[in-house]
Amino acid sequence: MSPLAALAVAKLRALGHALAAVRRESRLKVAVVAGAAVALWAGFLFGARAVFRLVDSFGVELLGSRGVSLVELLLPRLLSVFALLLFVMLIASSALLAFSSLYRSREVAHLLTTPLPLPDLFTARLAEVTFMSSWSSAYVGSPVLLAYGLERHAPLDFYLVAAAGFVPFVLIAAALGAAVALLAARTLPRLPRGLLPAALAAAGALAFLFFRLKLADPSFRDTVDLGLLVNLAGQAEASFLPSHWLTAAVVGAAAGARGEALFFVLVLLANAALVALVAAALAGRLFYPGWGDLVGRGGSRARRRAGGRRGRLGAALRGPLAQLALKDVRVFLRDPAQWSQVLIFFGVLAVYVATMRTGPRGLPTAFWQNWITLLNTLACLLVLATLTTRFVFPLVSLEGRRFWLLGLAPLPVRALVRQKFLLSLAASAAVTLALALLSGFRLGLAPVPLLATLGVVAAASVALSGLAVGLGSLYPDFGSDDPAKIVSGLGGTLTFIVSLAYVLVVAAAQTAVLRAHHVALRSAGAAGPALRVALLAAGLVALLTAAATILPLRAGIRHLERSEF
Amino acid sequence: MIRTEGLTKRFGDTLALAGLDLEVGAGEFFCFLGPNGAGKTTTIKLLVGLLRPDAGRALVGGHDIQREPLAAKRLLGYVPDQPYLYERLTGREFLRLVAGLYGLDGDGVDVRIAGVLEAFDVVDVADGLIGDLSHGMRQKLSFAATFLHEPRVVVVDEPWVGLDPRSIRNVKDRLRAGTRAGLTVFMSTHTLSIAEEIADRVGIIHRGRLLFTGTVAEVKALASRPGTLEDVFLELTSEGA
Repeated sequence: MSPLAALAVAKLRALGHALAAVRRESRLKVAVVAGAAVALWAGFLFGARAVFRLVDSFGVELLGSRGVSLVELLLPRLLSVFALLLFVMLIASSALLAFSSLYRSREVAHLLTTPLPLPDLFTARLAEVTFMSSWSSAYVGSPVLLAYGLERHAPLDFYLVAAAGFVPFVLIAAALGAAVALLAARTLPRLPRGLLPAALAAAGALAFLFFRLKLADPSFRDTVDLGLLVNLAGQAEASFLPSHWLTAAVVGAAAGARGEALFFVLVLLANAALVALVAAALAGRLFYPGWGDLVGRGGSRARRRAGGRRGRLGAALRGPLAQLALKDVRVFLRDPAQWSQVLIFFGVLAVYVATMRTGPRGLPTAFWQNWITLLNTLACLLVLATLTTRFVFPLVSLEGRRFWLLGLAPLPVRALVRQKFLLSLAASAAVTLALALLSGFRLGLAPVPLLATLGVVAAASVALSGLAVGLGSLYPDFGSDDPAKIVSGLGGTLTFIVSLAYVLVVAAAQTAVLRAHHVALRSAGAAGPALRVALLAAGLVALLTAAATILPLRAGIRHLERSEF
Repeated sequence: MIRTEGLTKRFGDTLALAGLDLEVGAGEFFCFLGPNGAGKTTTIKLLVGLLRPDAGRALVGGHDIQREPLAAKRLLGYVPDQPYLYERLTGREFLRLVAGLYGLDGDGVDVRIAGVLEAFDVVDVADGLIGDLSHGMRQKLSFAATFLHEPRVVVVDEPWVGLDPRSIRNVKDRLRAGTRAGLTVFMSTHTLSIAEEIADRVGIIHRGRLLFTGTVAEVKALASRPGTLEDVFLELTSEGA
């Protein structure tokens, strides 16, 4: 057996043991997570089918001198946009995963002491990165493709083509992400001091300017022009993009054009093989020197000076909880795998805010105005749910190996959990309230929708922080030091699902308030019912927020107090 | 079997190892001593290829660990101070993985695995998950994995943490027996009494510089007055030295 095969067998065995461990988990917990995952998937399927049906209802539009069925034009282009977004997200997540997997893993240090050839080591890590980055894409992408197939009454081979095209599509993104990580690890530590932040700031400013200039074009202001929408969506159909090849393959398969579908699947396969080979060649040249640079980097004078400044700040902060909060912030800022994800996250948010032009007041009906407000609230709340699940849920687990210190300190467990909750609340509320305010102003929301959005976001900051800290304490993973792995367990999945459920309920409550508000505006003297709806919704949100905050925190504290370390 | 020539390593502004020249012969038991932060683990990581030197080179069995890493690593066994073990594998599965990584194949593998499990007294826990093992059991399992491919050079970084007295005796005997059969042992340790007991030669490193190499008797002769190896060590590495 080759070393690579031995490693693959060991990984499969470890996976088998991990699945066996799931069987030993609480049945209720597994059932809740599995049931919610299926329900969410079904929700994506339902949503995607609704969007496709909406497009189907557009009928025929006069484009130029001839009538064109918009569904034929717009549907494939919408798929292209979706596939392009998926591709970009896959590259970003693969780059981060590859960096952690290649340069921050103790397993790699172990493997480097064995006679495992470096190309084999890279191949093993690339396979892991591909698997880890692709399951979420498959989870989100499969209902969209299935909905497309169902709405287009596609033949059976459509589903085979979709599966056959998806694998090389993901591999291309993973190999590109890994190549980005290899290049970054080799070049960034060697840049002159201060150049990296300057380069990042310049790139951010350029991206912002690009979107501002692009959107200054008056034609972009009219988002209800369907012809323009078709053209905009067509921008994602550049023929050199793997997302276009995947779309062309599935659209061809859905239309019964087997030859075209097979051609694009083969294009994907050939390119996946090529990109993987190029990445492996890059790994052969760059991985070990990059590893040496990162492991042997050590502390610079600048970092020691910064440490000294922060040390004085630490001395100025009084009390154990303030010191613990400072420790959490320091550990976060010194882990590139953590802060780089936040950086990408905020980059996406900047694009989101920069691309807003048309306000709901410019839209023709209350229906659309409410939709835009709801979508903006949902965007803010999903940002919040992602932040709390990804970065707050692991906080208690990460203390596991330090409980010899924290457990012996004259500090009740309750205080430790409270500190995590308050830190999370402060950080998440600052980010999401700023986002809600900024996006509200950019969209030109009226005072009532803006206040409703801010109220919902403030309540959600409390509830989602409580959920993440509470469930993080109730289902901790004290065996791991890797936040990404901690989140990917059952507890993390449960937190995200419960957070999503909370988000959907409070967003629905906000929509009810806004509808009642619109009704009141249209018919004079109907303020009474609107006020009643508003009070009822506010009561529901308050009750739900209290429950989502207090119950998990109490359960988490009780669990930690009874735990043995 | 081990040779370093001008081996130098910096971490940022800190000089961790300054031009180490060292030679350890076949069948020799060499103990590497030094206070915390002296450069012992850096030296070991450079020897096994986990760090790249800024200058100089390290050779194992005549193979430069940077230029011919696979040839050098086939001769090497390494027990780190905190060994990485796959928590979701059983001990036996982990040893099969190690066998595969070293290209060991065929029917003989199971016999070898049974042999090292027996030798390091981990037969009873071999089929349980590593994640459930105590620190000492993990340490013994890492020794078993190290000896599985019958290395010619074993590099050990502070191996005694977590081992009970019987296991310490077992590991010492095993290493000593190995050196009689031609195995080279390079061990970093703070346990000076053990170094005094089993080392053929010791090396003392301080602030990245090798202060002295020689037999224990030669080291003791350096002291201003007669004493144990510990007394001499403390004298050589005192702040004023």
